[in-house]
Amino acid sequence: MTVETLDLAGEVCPYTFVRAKLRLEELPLGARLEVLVDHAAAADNVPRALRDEGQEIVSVAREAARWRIVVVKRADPSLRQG
Amino acid sequence: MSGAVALELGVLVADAGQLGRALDLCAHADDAQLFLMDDGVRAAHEPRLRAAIDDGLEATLCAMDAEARGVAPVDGGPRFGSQFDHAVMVRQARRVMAITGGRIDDNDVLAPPGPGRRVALRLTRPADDPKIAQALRSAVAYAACEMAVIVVVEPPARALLAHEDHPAPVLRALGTLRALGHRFCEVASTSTRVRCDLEVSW
Repeated sequence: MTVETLDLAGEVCPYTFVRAKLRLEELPLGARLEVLVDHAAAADNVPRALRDEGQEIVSVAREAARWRIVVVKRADPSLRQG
Repeated sequence: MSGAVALELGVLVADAGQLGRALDLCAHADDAQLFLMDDGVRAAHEPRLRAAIDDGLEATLCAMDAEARGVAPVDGGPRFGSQFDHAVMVRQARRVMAITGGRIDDNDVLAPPGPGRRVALRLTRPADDPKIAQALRSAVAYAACEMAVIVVVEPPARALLAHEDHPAPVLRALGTLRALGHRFCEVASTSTRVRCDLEVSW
């Protein structure tokens, strides 16, 4: 299984979930993506946004000053127009 | 992506002074959501808002804007959310009201709830007005929720597209929207309409 890490430390809303979705776009279905965020609100909002998208949220774990969100790609996001 | 569940009314408030008007609108709907952002978050602790939440109103605010203005969470107050909540509200509501501190938009949205809705983001202020950056930030969230954004630049905001000497948040939002293929449209008059499903004016 493909496992990728996306470090979003220092990133702000809405770019946290935009970047997570863009990264997922590039991955095959079934791929595992670990998203790192360092803002408490993002640890709540990013999983909600990805779940809404149809992705599987495996876990959200706090690690010192950041959170690790583990996602499995279950749907193809389509952010680009045209 | 969840697109089937419709919401009767979604109200965006970016001006705390208009909270009463927004709450009056919500009181007349069976199923309403309120989203506070920008200076609208200053209304978070208003007793009228807490009373409406007690009566069942779903109210959320932009946690980032609240943090920037020193507005802390309070028991019984609005939920601290994100622009994602704002965008989902706009994506799902059959009626969308936008009260951002200038022109008020009241949209009966004929397009079905879900991705693909076309949102015209009308910029009515000078390009260096801080609300322009907020408007563009919210447009990025609309794009992330797979709506089609048309940034409509009215005459007062014309400088937005005339040069690149803008604050970093504005440049980033412009770059993101362009990279994702969203449209920009400069209009000669505030009355010029573009083809869309709903308008949000800032």
